[in-house]
Amino acid sequence: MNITKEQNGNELTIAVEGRLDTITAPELDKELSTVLNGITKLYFDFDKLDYISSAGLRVLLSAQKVMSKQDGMVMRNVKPEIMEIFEVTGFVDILDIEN
Amino acid sequence: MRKKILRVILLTIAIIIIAVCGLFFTQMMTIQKILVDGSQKASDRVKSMSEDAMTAEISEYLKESASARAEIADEEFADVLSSSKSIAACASYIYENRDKYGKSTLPHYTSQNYGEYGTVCAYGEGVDPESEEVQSELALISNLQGSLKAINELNPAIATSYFATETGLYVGNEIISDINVYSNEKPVLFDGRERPWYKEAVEEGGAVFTGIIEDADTGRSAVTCGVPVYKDGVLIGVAGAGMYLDIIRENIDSYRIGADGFACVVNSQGQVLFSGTDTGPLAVSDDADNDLRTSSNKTLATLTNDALAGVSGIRLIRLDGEEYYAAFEPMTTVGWAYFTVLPKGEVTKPTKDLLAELNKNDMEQKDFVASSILSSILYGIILLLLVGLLASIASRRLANKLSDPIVMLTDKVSKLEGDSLDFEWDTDTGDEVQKLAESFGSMTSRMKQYIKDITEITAEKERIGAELSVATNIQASMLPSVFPAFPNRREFDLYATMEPAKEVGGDFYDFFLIDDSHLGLVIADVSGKGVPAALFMVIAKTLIKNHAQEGESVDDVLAISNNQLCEGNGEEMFVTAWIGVIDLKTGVMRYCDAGHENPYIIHSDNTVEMLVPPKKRPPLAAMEGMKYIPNETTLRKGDSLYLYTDGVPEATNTDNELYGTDRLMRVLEEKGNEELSALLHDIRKDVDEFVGDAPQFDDITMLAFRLNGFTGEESNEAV
Repeated sequence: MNITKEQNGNELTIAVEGRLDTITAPELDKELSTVLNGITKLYFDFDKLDYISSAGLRVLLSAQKVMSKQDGMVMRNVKPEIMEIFEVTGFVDILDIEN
Repeated sequence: MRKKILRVILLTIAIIIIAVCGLFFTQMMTIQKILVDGSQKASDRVKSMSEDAMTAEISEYLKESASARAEIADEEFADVLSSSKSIAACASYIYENRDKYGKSTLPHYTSQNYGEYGTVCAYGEGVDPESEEVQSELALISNLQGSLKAINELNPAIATSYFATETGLYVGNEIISDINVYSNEKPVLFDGRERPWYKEAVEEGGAVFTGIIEDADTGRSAVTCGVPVYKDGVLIGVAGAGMYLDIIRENIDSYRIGADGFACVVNSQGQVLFSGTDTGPLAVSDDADNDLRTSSNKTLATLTNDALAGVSGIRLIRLDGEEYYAAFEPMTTVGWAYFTVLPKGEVTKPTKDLLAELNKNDMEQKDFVASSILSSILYGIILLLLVGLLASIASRRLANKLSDPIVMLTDKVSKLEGDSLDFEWDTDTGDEVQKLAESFGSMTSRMKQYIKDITEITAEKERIGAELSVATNIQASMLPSVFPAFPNRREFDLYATMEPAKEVGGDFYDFFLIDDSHLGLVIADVSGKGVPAALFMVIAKTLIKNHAQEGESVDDVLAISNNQLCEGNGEEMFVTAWIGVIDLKTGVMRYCDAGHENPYIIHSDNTVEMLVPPKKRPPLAAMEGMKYIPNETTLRKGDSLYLYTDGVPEATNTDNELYGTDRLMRVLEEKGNEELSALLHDIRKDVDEFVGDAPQFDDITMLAFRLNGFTGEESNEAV
C-alpha cells in the first residue's frame, strides 16, 4: 500500500494505492492520527485502491467521525469494485462518496 | 594464572642469571687469557731484552775487567820498567860525574840481618875483589845503594833492584840471606852478565823484559827488566829490577766471574803464563813450545795475534766444544795480553734464571688467577643462587600479588551459578581487576534487574496469555457449540463453526429459539481483532440476542442494538451483522442486514441463490440512529441457509488472490445436500487448499441451517 498526501490550505487529499486490509489499515490509521490536525476538509482519492477490508472500513469510519465535526470527508474516484464493497457493507449510507 | 606469571618471571630470572653467568664466566676467561697472554708476552720480552742486555752487560763487563786488570798488571811492569830506568839514569849519572862521588862502602851484614832488605854486592867469574880497579868501581857504584833502597821501599812489587857492570860487578838491594852475605869473608860469586835480563838488554840495546825466570835467590817466578847503561856509546852495565809474579798470579787467581769465568795472561810468545783455568787451550801448558798464535783453533789464534798486536775487544770463541765470550786487552808495557773469558752459557744463565723465576712467578700468578677466578665463580654462583632464591620468593609473592585479585574475582564469578547473581566485591585492589570487578558487579546487578523485569514481564505475559486463553474459552463457550443443538427438533438442522485468527476473534454466530416456532439466527463480524473485538462481540451478541428474544422485529433489534453499541464506542469499532428469524411452521424468514455478507440459500435441487436484501445498510455501531430495513423470504422444505463472515470470501492465498464468492458458490452447489457438518468441513477444506501456506488473517465463521420440515407436521414430532 502506498499513501500520497497533497495539502491545499486546510484541505488535504490522501491518495491510497493498493490494498487497504488488516495488514495495511493500521498504517493509514497511524498516518491519519498525525496529519488531520488543522485540516478542515479531507478527501480520499481511491483511484488506485484495489481492495478494502472491514479493517479499512473501520479506519474510514474513524476518520469520518473526526471530520464530521469539521467540513466533512469525501471519497473520490471510487472504482466500481470498491463501490460494491461500500454498497455491500452499507457504508454508502454513511460515507460521502463523490460520483 | 599464578603459575603462568610465576613461570614467566622465573624464566626471565633464569635467563638473566644464565646471561650474567655466561658474561661473568666469559669475562673471567678473558681476564685469565689476558693475564696468561700478557705474562707470556712479558716473559718473551724479558727474555729477549734480558738476553740482549745481559749479553751487552756481561760483554762490557768482560771487556772492562780485561782492560782494568790488564792495566793494573801492566802498571806493575811499568813500575819495574821505570824503576829500572831510574837506576840506569842514576848509574849513568854516577859514571858521568865520577869526580863528584866519593868512595862508598856497603854495610856489613851478618846472619842477624837475614830476612831484612839490604844492599849487597857480588863478583862475577874471574873478577878479583882485591884489585884496586875493581874496588874503586865497587866504591863508585855503591853510591847507588840509596837509590836502590828507595826504589825497593817505594815499590812493594819490586823484589830486587840492581846494577851489574860490564866488568862483572853487581850491586843489588835484596833480602839478606846466607847466599848473598859474605860468609867467612868470602866474596859472593854472582855474575850479572850471565843473567837473561843482562844479555837481552844488551842485545836489544834498550829496556827489555825477560820471560819468566826463576829468581836466582828464592827460586820464585819472576820477571826482570833490564836497561843498558852507556857512557860515550860504550856499554858500562845494565840496571834492572826484578818483580815477583805473585802479584800477577794473584791478579789472575783473584779474577772471578760467574761460575766458570776466568782470566789469563799470554806473553809475547803466545804462551799462557797465568791462567784461571786448569783445562783447555788457555790452561798453563808444560810444553814450552805451545804457542797460541799458531793454535789450530783459528779464532783463538787470530784473537791472540790481534791482542799481542795491541788490539782490544771481545769475541765469541769456541774452546773444547763450548762457546765462550773472550775479552782481550794488550799489556803494552810488557807486550803481553790479558784475556777474560766467560762461558756463553753463563751470560745467558741469569736470563734463564730470571725467566725461570718469571715463569715460576707466572705459574704462581696463573695459579693465583685461576684460584681467584674459581673462587670468584664460586662466590658468583653462590650469589646467583641467593639472588635466584630471593627472586623466586619475590616472584612468588609478586605472582600472588598479581594473581590473587584475579583468583578472588574468578572464585566470586564461578560462584555465580544457576540463579545466584549475588556478586559482592568489598576489596580495593586498585588495579584493572578492581575496575573489572566493579564493571562485573554493575553488570550482575543490571542482569539481576533485567531478569527481575523479564520475570515480571513474562509473568505478566503468561498471566495475559492465561487470561486470553480464558477469554478464548469464554468466547468459545458463549457460542453455542453443542450439536445437535436441538435434538428434539427434527424439522431443522443446525451446525456452526468459528475459527479465530488470533486467540480471540471478533466473529460470532448465534442461534436461539424465541418461542416454539420461531428460531433466531445471527451472524456478525466485529471490525478489529483481539480482546477489544472479543469484548465488543460479547456486548453485541448479548444485545442482539436479548432484543430478539423479547420478540422485537428484526429491524428494531438491530436499530436498538446499534444505538446501544454506539454509546461509549471509543475504539471506533463496528459490527456487520445479519439476523434472521424463521417461522418454523411456515418457513417464512424475516431478516435484516447491517452491512454483512449476503447469505446463500441452497435449494434441495442443489441450486444456490444469494439472498440479497433490496437495500444494504451500514454496520452496527458505525453511526447512531440508523434505521434498518426488514425483509422477508420463504424457505421451502429441504432448503438450506448458509451464513458466513468475510473471512471466507476474503481468504487470501500467497498470490494475494481472494477466495471469492464464485468458488464458494461452486462448493455449495457441489456439496449442498451433504450433512451440514460435512458441508462446513468441506468448505473449510476448500478454503484451506486455496489459501495454501498464506497465514489466516481473519476469523472464519460459518453457520448452516436446513429446514427439514415444518413444526407441527406429524413426521417432525418428537418420538
